[in-house]
Amino acid sequence: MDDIDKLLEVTEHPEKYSDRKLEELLDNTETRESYCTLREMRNAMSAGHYADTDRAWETFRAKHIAKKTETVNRRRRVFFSDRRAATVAVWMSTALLCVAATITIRSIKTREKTEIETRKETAYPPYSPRHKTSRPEIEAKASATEDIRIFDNETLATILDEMGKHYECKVIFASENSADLRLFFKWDRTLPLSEIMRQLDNFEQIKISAEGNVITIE
Amino acid sequence: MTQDVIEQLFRFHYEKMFLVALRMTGNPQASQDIVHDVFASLLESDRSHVSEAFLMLSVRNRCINLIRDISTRERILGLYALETEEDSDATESATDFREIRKIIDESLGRKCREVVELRFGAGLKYKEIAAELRISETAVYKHLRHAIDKLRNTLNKNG
Repeated sequence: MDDIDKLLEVTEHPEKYSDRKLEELLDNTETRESYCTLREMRNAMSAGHYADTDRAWETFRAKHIAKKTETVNRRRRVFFSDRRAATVAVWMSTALLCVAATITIRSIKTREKTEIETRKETAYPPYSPRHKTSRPEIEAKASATEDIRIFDNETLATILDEMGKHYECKVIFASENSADLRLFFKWDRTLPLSEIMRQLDNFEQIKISAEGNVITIE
Repeated sequence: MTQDVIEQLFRFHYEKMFLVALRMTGNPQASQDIVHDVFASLLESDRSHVSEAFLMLSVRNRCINLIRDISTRERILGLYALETEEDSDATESATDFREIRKIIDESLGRKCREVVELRFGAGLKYKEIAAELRISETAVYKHLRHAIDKLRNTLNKNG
């Protein structure tokens, strides 16, 4: 392992190195420059998102102005019928393009119910390796015939509402706060519910469980 | 200050303030937080107006404090600037991130770009990228090294 490999390792696992080792590693022009390049790459891929004034303002307003006063009781129950079954079959037939959902969390709860418009151009472009070419425009629209649905800064309530319909189960929010949590979540509708729940459970702020066809969020 | 005034100031100055913060800290999330904090403190202040210079100075000070206060470990994990602007060398001066995005999109091979997107766009771990693309973790490293080299060469040529 040379220094550049170590640098790559260190940006993910700094705990594997002692403070002195870290200093030593970066005390070298070559690795330092590579570090800067890594940073510039990261910024190239993600800073556009944070640089957007409209978005930044919405976040600011949600966080500092529309302060949480009293939360509306938002216990939600979702019921539905079998009419989705046919659509599910269509989805299943295209199920081979299976992509593990990638999750990026952003933003904290807000009382806002207004949906921030789904943006066609996101800083984190929709991504699907098994598709031949990148198809951001198609995926961003996420029409009902697509397997991938991208929730961009949408509330957990909205997300689970849609999932509940798709998987035909009931969704219960045990706490109001979690319903208002906003997420960036890439949902692969071809994946089984258990897998999606596992992915959601990875979020620190979400505790999700299922019994029969009732999903509970604590 | 009233919310209307704050909104106006915010819309007018946000991008410039953000870019200053990004140049100093190197971290986009932290940069946004810093600018947000500056405006949050204005919400509570009884000033009737503020100048651009004041806003920029507030951003600078917060950046300096942030970089001073976090450990090397945290810096590396968040790919922050290694030192603040004052004592930085030439390599720390950043090219516009949009230009770099263009270079990435145009000059990297498909697989390599996918790795870069998954790592820095989606924030996946090396192991997750390897699983996602069905390649080895060593190959992920290889692609990232290639991306670093390519980018450095292109930037050196241009600059």
